[in-house]
Amino acid sequence: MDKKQKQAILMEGHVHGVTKTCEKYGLSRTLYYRWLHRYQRQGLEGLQAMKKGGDPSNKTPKETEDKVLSLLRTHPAYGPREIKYLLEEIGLHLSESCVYNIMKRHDLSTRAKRMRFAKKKPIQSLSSIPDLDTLESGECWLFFITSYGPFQGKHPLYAYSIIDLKSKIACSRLYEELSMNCFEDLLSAAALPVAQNLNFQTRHLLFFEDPHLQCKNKSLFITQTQRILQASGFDPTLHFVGEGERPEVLEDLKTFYTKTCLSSIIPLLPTADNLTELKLLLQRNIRRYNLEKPASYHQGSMPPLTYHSQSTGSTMILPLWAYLDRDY
Amino acid sequence: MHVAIIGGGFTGLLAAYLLEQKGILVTVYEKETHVGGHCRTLAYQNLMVEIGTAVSFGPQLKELLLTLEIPYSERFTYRNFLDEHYHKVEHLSHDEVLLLMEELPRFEALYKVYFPQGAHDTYGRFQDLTIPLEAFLEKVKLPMIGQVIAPHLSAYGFGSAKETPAYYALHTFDPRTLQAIIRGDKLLFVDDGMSQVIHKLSQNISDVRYAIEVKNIVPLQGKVRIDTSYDTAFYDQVLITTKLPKDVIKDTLYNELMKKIDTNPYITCIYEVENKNIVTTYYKANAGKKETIQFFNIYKEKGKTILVAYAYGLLSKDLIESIRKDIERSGVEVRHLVMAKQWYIFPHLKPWNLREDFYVALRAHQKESQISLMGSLVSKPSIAHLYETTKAFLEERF
Repeated sequence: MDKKQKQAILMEGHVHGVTKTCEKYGLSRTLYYRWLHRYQRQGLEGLQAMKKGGDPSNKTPKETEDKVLSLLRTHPAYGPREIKYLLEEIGLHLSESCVYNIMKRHDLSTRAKRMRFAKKKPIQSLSSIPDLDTLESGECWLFFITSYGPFQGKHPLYAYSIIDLKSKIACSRLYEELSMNCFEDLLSAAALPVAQNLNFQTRHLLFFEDPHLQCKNKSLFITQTQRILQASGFDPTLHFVGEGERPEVLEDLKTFYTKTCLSSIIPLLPTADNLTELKLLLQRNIRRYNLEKPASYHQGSMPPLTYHSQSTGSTMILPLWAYLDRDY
Repeated sequence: MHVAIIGGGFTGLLAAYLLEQKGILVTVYEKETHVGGHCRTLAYQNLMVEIGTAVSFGPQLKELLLTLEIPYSERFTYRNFLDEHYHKVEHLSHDEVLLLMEELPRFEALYKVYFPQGAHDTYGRFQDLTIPLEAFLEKVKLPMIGQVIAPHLSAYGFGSAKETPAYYALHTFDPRTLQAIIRGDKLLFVDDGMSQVIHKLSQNISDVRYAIEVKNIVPLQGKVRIDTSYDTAFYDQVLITTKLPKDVIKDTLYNELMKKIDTNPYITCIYEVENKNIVTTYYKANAGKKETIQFFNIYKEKGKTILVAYAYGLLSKDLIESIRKDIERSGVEVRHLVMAKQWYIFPHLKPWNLREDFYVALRAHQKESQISLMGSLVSKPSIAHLYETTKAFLEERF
């Protein structure tokens, strides 16, 4: 109601009686007299709707709220306390209840709601497979994990592998656990530096989904993988391919690489003294595989690295360590 | 006890911080209006661009970063190498790597002969390592080791392998460092920049004098007198961490060193550039050559890429132009120059000034004197190593 309307009501009350007018407009007499007193004191201006006191001084800034929301998006399963700890890591000190209030304001106070909220995010990942026939060397990578079973009767042993579909250039590392950290290590220590040097224009990264090796939080995995890739100037689309959906070419490539490279250490598993030794042996086999062992292509038979430089017309440039034994 | 420290760079501030932790009274003299020396970070929008010391190989620095609660990260960095035609090349070719493999064990064995205690110390006896690195490696038939070291020698600020005395080069590129380079180990970055280290150290130091140049340092009956342009004070000990003009130190041996000591003029040149997909790049053919770009580092975030190029020489319009051209010839689109800055780095003695026992005599003298030299004046100029040697030196002396 604006001041003119209020003034009209006051006039009407003056003429027709306060009680009657108040009944007509659904007002209390208290309010009527409050208006009247203000009108007598300050005139028309006194009837101006009073401004609320503005934002409270301790209101959480929008940037902070945004940070909380983006954390919730990546960690929907976390409650206020965990989020509070994560915020501390980035130098933001909020109380647990402050985090909870932000959750409540955005209707995210239950875990289920947060899960739904996190899924709404447009994730640049597909379950379909890119057109495999049009791909060039270096454009499409395949990632898969091979399990060797327990090593020395203790930890299970896994090979994490990334192989380029067209050139068959590959890298693998051995790890004793299934975790994002291992994948990150393979990507940033081996795959990306080589891809940088070989001038790969990587557009697709395919993940073979294995029901036994499910990633607990896929959206977190995707965000983190994209962060690593983008930091190195790569921005491929991520694809997740289920067991029944894999074209023969992909299966064949995986089998081929497993046979020529990954299986080579199986006979050594029972006798190997330590993991370092195994890692070194596998590393040497992979080097030989990429640099020397001929594989078959439409153009004939040649080592993967030779194929890549021939098909892209580029000189083969590798980092120094690619030729040497390297602990990890 | 009251100790004066001359120079508010990393070593000076670290020494002041460590001494105050021991409860020793300290005064730092800095001739500039700000501390930090070669540790400096430029905040450019959200990017923390290092204009001096950028990274560290060794894990030693972590100890300091943890106590000062400074966040850091370890990252793999990718390096490209360009030849004289600005074409991408390998640091070493496959065949050369095979030679390198053969050279590595010989290098390690030789290293043990020259540096039986390893290289965790300040400079010592030069023996026959006063000749330039290249000549020395030729003599002992380790040419590939030379190839690996050359671009990094230049990037560290030592200059050319043809001129740098072999001792300085080998002191820095010990087998451990060499292995780290060859393996492409992770490098340690301070998240908020090296300036953050300086800032945190300063917060823990109670007495720093800014923009005050020290005119005289005079040993006097068990004390040391320091004259500045404005006042005079007496101290029990003086630690010198920076090159001083001749005749400031009234001590024959130190003064002789200060007169002979040379530095390399070095330039940092920062550009905002267009390309996103570029990495640290070394101009292999330029390694150690004056007035040519040596290498560049990249700092990037969404929509912004900052390139930091390094070259030997003195700032001039021509040099900045030629650096820009070299960057453009390697396929990078330059938007504009952000900063050009002159440094003088790597205090060292030229071969003709080098006596085989120079630093040994210096260390012996130091034991008797109330004045001592520390930091990059007497030790390899890597931040992790400076931390180690400074800590060890103070442990021994105080």
